[in-house]
Amino acid sequence: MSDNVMDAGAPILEIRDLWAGTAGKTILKGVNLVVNPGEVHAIMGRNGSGKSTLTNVLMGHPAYEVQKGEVLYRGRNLLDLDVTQRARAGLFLAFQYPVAVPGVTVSSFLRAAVRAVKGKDVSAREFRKTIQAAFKQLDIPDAFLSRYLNDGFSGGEKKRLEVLQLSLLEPSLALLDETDSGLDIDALKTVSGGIVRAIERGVSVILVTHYQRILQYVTPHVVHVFLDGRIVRTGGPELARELESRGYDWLDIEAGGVPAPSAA
Amino acid sequence: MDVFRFVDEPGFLAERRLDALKAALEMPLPDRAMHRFRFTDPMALLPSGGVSAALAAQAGRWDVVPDLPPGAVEAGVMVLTFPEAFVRLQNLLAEYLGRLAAPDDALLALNLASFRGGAVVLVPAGVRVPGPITLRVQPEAPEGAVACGRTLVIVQEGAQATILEETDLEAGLASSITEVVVCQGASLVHGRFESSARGAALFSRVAYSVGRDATLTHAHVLVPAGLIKAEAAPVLAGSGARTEGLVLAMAGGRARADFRAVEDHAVQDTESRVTYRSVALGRGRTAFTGLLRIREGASRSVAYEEARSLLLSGTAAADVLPELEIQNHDVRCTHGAAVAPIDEESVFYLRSRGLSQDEAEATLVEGFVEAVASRLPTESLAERARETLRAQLVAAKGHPAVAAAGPVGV
Ligand SMILES: Nc1ncnc2c1ncn2[C@@H]1O[C@H](COP(=O)(O)OP(=O)(O)O)[C@@H](O)[C@H]1O
Ligand SMILES: [Mg+2]
Repeated sequence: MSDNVMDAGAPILEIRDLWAGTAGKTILKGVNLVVNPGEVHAIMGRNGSGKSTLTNVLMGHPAYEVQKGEVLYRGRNLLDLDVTQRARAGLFLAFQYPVAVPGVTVSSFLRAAVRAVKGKDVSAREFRKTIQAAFKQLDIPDAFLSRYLNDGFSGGEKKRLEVLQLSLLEPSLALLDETDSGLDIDALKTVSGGIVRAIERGVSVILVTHYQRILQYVTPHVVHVFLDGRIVRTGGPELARELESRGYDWLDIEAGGVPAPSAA
Repeated sequence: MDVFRFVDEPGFLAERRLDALKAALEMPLPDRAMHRFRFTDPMALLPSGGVSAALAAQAGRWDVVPDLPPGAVEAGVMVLTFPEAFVRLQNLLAEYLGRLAAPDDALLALNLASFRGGAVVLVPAGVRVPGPITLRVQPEAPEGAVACGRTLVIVQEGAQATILEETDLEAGLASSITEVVVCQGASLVHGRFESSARGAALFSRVAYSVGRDATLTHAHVLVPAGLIKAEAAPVLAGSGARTEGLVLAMAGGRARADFRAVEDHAVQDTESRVTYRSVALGRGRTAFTGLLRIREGASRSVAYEEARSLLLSGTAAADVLPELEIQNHDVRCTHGAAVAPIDEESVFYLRSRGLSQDEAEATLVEGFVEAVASRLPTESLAERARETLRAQLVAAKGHPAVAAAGPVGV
């Protein structure tokens, strides 16, 4: 996004005391997070701790309402922007569960997305070239271009297509919600390769996962532990390894909560 | 009352017209308790004086402009007016006219008694027509009358053809009935594109007879600004007969599109499929009633029906009613029906890729109808359907320029 002048060194994202949820339920309970340009932040946490809610709220999902707090994206109030504006401003969400859109081909969807996000149309030939290269890198057969978007795709195919969009749309900040889940080891390497290439090109990343596995391929600068709607601990890559060996329960106690019933 | 509408009508037609006239006057209007007319009041298709007033009015025009692909005439294809057909195809007319769409109710009888225009299409045995035959149908009825027209299509043994009928009703009331015979081993693609302007009401029915090992694809695109009550009724009359029905309806503004399909499996080893998609927006309303009828002798038949409607506004409405009538249980029948609003998760997904709300909705709507649109028999029919859909979407968003360019009301 060259049209956006940014202070050197200013954070790309700043979340201050964010509370959010659905009409009847508060899910995020005071999230604080600062992401600087080029940084990779891993957010780890048990199922149900609110990780997807966080990424959805950041992208502007209409099911959630922000109850308190603020979010600055490149110095602007992110919450003032609608979903479309956020996407066009360089925010990208790789969905945990990408939706299927029968009747809309992958190729027409990708073309529409590139046109919408980049604000300009590329020639059919140029687009084809870009796409073919991207497909190859992510090991997606060309035949997928004429398939309907995510319709009948396996979990792994959907995740690859999400990463493909990450590389085509070239966002400033990517929210990757469990992009590693449901992948076998080969697919994990392919998908990680795509993420790493995007990072090398300068994208900042919030990588949501509940396995340490992907962090062997995508090295985070910062690791956060998410518990019951907030970040309860922050550390370096070693924190991920600690979680892998100790689980999450010790954090419940440190955070002043009670261990999950299943662990009792 | 004069029963002749053409000069030199043959005797058999005069007899059928008289029978139809009697039937029209004696029979009650179709029963609204039955699925067929559950969603449309038959009186909406008639002048306020009902059938007898329509019979008395005896007015209106029914112009058909045919367009044949090069080589068709040389191959023996005939597209004739009725007076021409009385001379050249008298026996075929005597065999089929008014027999497939018989005067079984007051509306059908009204048409047979008073149709005054139309076309007869003959594709001789073994001929493969090298492109679509298009009939542009322009009904015109003065206030208080119903313009009535008929088309008779005969595709003889082993022949292959694509025939499109495009009917644009600009004002008033019209009744358009087509009878189609697909003989043994023949293959026909029949497409109907129908529009009606605001305040105009079109009643439309196609009755098909599909012979042994014959194949029929019947496609119907309904884009009313007023009312369209359309019906397709194929009889799978010979074993090995196969039909594929594709239906696309959209109703915005205050339009009504009511479609009925009756796939009648008369004999064994027959196969039918019906796929229906409709989009209702604004205060528009679409309805689908689809009957799969399996007769006693129709063992080993396969019937499939899938009807889905998409609602784009809280004030739009859609109904889908599948119906089975099974007299032989050695068959496979599958049917599915659903009415749903646009999926908010999908809108969110597309918007997260930079599409605006309107673009996201339009994309989803186009995707929704694609199951039918992509299989429409000709690209021009598909394109016309997609274009109308896009225009309706823009109009529904209240875009003044496009709304003003839309069909003119009566
Ligand atoms: N749209 C929603 N409506 C109701 N409850 C929700 C909604 N989204 C999330 N939740 C609830 O909020 C909690 C956190 O969910 P989620 O953010 O998906 O967690 P995670 O991604 O960490 O597994 C869960 O209890 C979930 O059921
Ligand atoms: Mg999640």
